[in-house]
Amino acid sequence: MNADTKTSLTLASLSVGFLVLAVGFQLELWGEPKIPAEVPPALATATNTATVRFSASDMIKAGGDTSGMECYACHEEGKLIELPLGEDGIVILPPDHKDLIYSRRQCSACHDKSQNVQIEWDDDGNVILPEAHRDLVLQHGAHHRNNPCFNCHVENKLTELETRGGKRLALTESTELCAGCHGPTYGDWEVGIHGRTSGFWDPNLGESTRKQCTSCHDPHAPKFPSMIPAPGPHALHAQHEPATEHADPAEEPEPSDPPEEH
Amino acid sequence: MRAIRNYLVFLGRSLGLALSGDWRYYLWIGFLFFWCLLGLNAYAKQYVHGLAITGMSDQVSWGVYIANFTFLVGVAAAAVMLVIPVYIYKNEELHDLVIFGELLAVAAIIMCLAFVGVDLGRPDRFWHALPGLGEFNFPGSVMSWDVIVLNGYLLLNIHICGYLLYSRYCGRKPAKWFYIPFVFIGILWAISIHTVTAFLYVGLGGRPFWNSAIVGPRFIASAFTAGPALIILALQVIRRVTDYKIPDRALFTLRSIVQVSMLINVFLLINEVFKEFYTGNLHVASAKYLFLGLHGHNGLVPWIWTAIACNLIAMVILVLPLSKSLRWLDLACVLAIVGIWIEKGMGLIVPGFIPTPLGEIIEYTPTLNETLISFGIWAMGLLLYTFFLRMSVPILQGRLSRATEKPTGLVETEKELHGVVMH
Amino acid sequence: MTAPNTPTTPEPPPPACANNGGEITRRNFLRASAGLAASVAGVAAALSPLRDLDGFPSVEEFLQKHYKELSKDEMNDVLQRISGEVEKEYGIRPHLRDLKPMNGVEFVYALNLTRCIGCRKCVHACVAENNQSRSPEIQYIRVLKMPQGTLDVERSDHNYAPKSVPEKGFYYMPVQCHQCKNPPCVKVCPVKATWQESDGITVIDYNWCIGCRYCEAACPYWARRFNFSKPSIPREKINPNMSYLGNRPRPKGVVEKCHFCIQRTRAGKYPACLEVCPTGSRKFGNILDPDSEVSYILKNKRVFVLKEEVGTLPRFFYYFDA
Repeated sequence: MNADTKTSLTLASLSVGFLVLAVGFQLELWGEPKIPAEVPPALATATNTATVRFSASDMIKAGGDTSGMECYACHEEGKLIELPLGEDGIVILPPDHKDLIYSRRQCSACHDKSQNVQIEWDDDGNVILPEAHRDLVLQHGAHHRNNPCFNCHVENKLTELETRGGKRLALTESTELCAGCHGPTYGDWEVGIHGRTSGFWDPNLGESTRKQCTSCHDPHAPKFPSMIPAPGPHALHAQHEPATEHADPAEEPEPSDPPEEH
Repeated sequence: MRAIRNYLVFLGRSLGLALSGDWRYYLWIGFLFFWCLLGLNAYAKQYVHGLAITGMSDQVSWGVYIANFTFLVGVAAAAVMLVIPVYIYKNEELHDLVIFGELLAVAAIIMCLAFVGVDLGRPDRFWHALPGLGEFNFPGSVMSWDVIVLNGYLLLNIHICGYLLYSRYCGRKPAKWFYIPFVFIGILWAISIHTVTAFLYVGLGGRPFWNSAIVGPRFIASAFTAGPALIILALQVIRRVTDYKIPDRALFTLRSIVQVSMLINVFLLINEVFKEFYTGNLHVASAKYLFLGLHGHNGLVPWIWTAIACNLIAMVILVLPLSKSLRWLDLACVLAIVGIWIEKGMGLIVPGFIPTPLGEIIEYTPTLNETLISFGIWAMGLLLYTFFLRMSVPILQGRLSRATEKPTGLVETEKELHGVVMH
Repeated sequence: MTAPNTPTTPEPPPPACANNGGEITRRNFLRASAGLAASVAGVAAALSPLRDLDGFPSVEEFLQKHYKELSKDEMNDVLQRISGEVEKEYGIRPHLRDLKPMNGVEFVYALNLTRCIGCRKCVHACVAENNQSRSPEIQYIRVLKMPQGTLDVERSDHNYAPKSVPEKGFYYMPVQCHQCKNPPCVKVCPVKATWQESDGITVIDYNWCIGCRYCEAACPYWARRFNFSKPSIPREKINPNMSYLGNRPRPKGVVEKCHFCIQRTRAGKYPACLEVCPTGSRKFGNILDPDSEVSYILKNKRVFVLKEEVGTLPRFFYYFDA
């Protein structure tokens, strides 16, 4: 074979090669490029600006239905109430009052309204209280020292409050009562750096509103409740080692520690 | 007018020459073109789908493109290592070889620009980075310096090679004032392109792995190892496939450059490793990830140890008299190139991003598409270099000159070419 | 490409193929054409993925000048054009403005690490407010779960997903753009597509950014995000209150980041991450106003900034209550 023939052959085979490549391109023979996986949409609750609870004070101010707070449907007005104390000196909350305290939770802060809440049951048929709800007990102060009702409520007028100095307050004025013990925190709140201030940072352009203590803290168990965290980040490309996102369900999170109140 | 016509004839003849040859030549350029097409196709996909189809992420926001870019800037800078002996030490042996080195620089810079181009999210807005037209953040941004030095270096080398080759073609003696000053500017410029590229990384205070004064010197040392090594290999290929005479002494001059540079390179690497690991402060995380793996992530560990092995073996061969045998020298060059490519590419760019400034570890693996684009650019560069050599060898040999011009101009005989074709 | 041999060749050619006359020329011509045609076909086919491209940028967009060089009328045209593009894409006419910094205002953010419980609501409120891409996911805020007793971010967990937060023994540190006074990202941008405004917000002109991602590499807080593909935002989730330098939908291939909700804060409102925070850990305001909340915090709390040693002078402060 002389060199010229070889050249022709080379050129011919290269031409064929290019045409094959062209067909390959058209048919996308080596596949579509790998496009990162779709990220599931986040729950609507993740962007809900509601505070974690809706206090009696908020309810009264909003002119809502306060019939659940009618103490004197059962109690006799003007008559002292015996506090049922346990052996350790801690107040035992009657079962029918748990509901009263829980009912002020702002469900929509955590639960998506469009989705039914899934209730889990244990083997004995009892509802398993989710971690986020386990703090719903009467727990106020170190060693629950502030559990006794009449530290705050007026003994014979439960819908009113009384400060240590004997000043009577309506339910809607509870912040002043809290201030009696939580001085430094109240000081921070006063200047607007404890608790959320919403609306406008610029007073010339609009108003700002401040949350009351009870908008976030249950006065009966003021520790800020634990929450279900919104979903974590999704990496652009799946990594070989799965992130801790799919945590082992057997691995129970340790009971949470409150950011302690003062 | 006549001068322009003459120049066009010169260009036309050179181009015609570049596109013709015997079957082996066609096979070679066909092979390279094949890879260029694959790369082009992969880039078309990337252009449509975005950089999401690369392995890069917000965590590791630069990958093989910038790694190759960094390596090739070094290769381009190293062309100067042929220039210095010729123009400063008057080593006439290497005189014509300078042109081969500078042509390599031209091809390397074009590859650099291509690698940066494919890395851009908005290549259509490239004009924003043009001085005068867009908004050029000079002197604030080191990247704007890089734009200037790289393009300047490209122009300098095109000018020097083009002028010398055209003078030779015309049978004139080149006017010294018209190129010697540029040669000396080019020497400084070559150092600057690599220093500025190092400063791209060094200047980032938030990336302790890069924020080290030794990175600049390391860049220069590794460039002056890998660049001349690549030129040694290129010269050997030229020697084999053309009848252009390249004396062994020329190769050994380059060998001594590679030898010294490799020793310095390894020495500087040891300095860096010592500082990182002996101090043992928090900033060691990236180096740990690179050399030992971090929290079970060790994607780069095999790479860097391969690189270190390559560099050390190359260094041993180079310092031994063994490398006076061309075969061993070739091996040492190949090892040095591979070692430095890994060390400066994947080994420098990627660990700078791992862990992220917020301590997250997301590893990086280039995707097939990204790899095809990189191969495509390398093929394009080699194709250009092949064309450049194809044009320049017969000019330097006197085969392609004004004297061989025909009245009709542009056409050449295949026989003329045979001097430059394999035999 | 070839022609008959001429006697002007300086050296006698080495032996090999014999060329003679027109026949070879014709054959050469034919094979050269075949090679050329195949190459052209190859190039054309290689470019075939471009048929999936949803349009090149318009001439107006391509030629648009840098933000700071646009006259008022030109800016209005640009806003009109972008509003049209958004309407076409998402079916809603946005309220798109180019809000300028206010005089005598410098924004500062303060975050109370004692209060933050790591619920990540800020992350998602930010995504919703700022029209960030949902898939692939772009989030400006990253919440770090940190073991108590350290500030070493390398010991942080970004992907924590317990049944409830906070977890014992940990605190949570949300990180977003720190709006540095000495911003490395601005310094390194080769085309001045990002700059610091007089109110301290570092902004990006999404129509000028070339997508080199140098700023991403430069940021010590990992605050910048790149649009690796075209952002996807569900139509019904679009926030129509938009600002040019803020939350208008971004094109593919440009960098974005937290801009302190420019479309809200330059209209006097608090940013979205603050408004959603259930614990009130986030505080924002004008540091030049001595009566602002952030002024009080900087004066009275023991604040610190992240990575002070890198000299970026952040406008984002962390503090602990106790």
